[in-house]
Amino acid sequence: MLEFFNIALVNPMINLLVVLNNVLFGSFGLAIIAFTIIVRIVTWPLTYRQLKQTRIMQSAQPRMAEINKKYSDPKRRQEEMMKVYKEVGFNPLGCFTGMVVQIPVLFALFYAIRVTLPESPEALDRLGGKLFSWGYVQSAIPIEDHFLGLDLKANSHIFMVLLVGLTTFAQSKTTTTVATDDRTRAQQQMMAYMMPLMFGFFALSFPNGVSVYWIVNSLVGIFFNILVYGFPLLGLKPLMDIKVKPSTVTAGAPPGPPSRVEPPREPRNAHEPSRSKRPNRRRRSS
Amino acid sequence: MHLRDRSLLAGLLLLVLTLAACGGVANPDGWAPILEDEGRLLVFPEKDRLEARSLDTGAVLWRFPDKNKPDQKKLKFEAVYDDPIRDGGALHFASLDGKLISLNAADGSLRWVRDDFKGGVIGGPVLVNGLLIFGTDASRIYARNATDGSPAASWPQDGINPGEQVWAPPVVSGEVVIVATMGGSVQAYRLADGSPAWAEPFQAEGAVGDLAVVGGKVFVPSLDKHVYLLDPATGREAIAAFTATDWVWTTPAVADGAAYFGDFGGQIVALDLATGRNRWAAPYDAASKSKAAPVLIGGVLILATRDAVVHFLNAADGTRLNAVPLPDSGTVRAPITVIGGKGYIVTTDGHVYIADPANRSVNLAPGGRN
Repeated sequence: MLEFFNIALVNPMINLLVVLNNVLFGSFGLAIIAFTIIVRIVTWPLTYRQLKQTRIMQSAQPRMAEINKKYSDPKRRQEEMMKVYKEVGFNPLGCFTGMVVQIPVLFALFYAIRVTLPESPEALDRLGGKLFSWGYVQSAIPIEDHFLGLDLKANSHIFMVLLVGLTTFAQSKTTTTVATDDRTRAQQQMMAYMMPLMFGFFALSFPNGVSVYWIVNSLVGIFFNILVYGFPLLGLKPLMDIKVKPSTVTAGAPPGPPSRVEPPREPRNAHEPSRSKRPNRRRRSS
Repeated sequence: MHLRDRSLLAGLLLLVLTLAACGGVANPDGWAPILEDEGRLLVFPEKDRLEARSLDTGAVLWRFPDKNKPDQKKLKFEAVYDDPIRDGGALHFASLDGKLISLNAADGSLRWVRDDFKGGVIGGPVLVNGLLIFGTDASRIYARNATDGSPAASWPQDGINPGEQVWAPPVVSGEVVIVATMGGSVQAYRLADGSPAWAEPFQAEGAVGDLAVVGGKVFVPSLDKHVYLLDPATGREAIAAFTATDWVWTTPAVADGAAYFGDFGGQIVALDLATGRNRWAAPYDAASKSKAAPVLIGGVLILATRDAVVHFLNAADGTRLNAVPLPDSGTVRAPITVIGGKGYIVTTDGHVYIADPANRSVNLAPGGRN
């Protein structure tokens, strides 16, 4: 499995990095930047799918809130939500599948950057088996490991750590989040701050080269977010028009105008799972 | 993005980042060969420890650093890539974390330690005329007095800048010291004052991580898949370069005008130092990277490959006499050492094996397992 991972992903990435290094004037820093942008462009369909799914979910948000408000029974609530998902074309696995593909790519990227900039003779020895036999690639070794005064293979400079945190935070702030209730919203808020801290912490043990990758990756992510969501804080409108099916159906009812709302209490039958005890108690007491 | 998805992403990334940060890519451990010194085997069983062991029993005679000795309590070094140098009763070695250390060979007591230079040491030092000369990965070449490690008065005090990192151990030929850089440049400096000795450096197309003087020529193995043989007086190619199948990063075993070495493609050859051609009818295919320098004992070439297999070859024609795998022993990168007519092999996980050319067998050395 690991061998397949190396052959299919890591080795081609390493060689691409080396080729880019040669093309970009022997600057490995520029090679990392170009590499990151290329990978983000190549995986754009997946990113687009994720962003679109989020956008779709966003459009269905009022109805989700309504369902949450209306149904206390989790099973029934789930059924109603699934109906809305189906209607608006939202696939709950849509985001997940994109990530499943991206995670190995991310892992390979981290690994490729660390291998291509050997920190030790052992690492250079290991690199020896991963390069294609083209003279163009072979002659680039060892690669110049400095970029803008940074030693790309040394542990991240504190400035880079701060930039990693900052760009991760900025990316998180430009991402439209979908919260169905206050608790979820609070959790998302917490994540918006936790993620930059977490990545900043990890960046402390990354080489500068990996931090460069992460910063550029986040910047491209910010660009994509603005492309799709716009950035209301700066008055920027989305540059891409993602077609989203209008969310028109009211929970528990056939498609119709959004203003149609069912009565607050739906009729229950004997076989329907019971609601929570608290409302029942209230009903009994009344 | 859903909270669930974000949490999943965060979790997976956490795993990815942890793996990326903590594992997977090689950390420096060093690959120093074994040295024999008056009945003692000097071994670096770990990246931060030197041991003197009895050659006969394998019993540990002393360790360095020894935390029971006050002057060694806080002393640390990390990753050594060359064997210690014998200098009378002293031993000198240098480490990747930028230390030049001198010990008393008899008991491992510290003579002196210096870290007042830039960069870490991968190859060397070499001892000549009472000077320890070494290059660093901070692109510097230094000459230090072997008596106390102080800068040699006749050399530039802040070292010489060869323009690129130096990984290969310097070699001495006559009155010049020759160094190679990871940029592929081979340069010579006068021992007397560190001034350039060649009209211009020799330039290979790939990095040079090792260096040797064999048969009156400078043996320059390169990552550009060539071995260059230079005239030590001028730095010019003495004969046409030999083309290997892959990187060459090893010094050769030398006998009867031939240099025996392997490359990262697993090809082993007997390079005729006069013609620059392989003496054997065909190269020997070891089927794995060859980094460790081989040895030649009684007409038998002993080499160990990256997959930890010891090969015994007939040096006359390159035919295989035997191949012995070393199970669960990591890999072999350190040059093999000849002691008492046998080849001593140290593996990356600290095992020490003895390869016997007489019966083509390999056995664990006394005390050879950690």
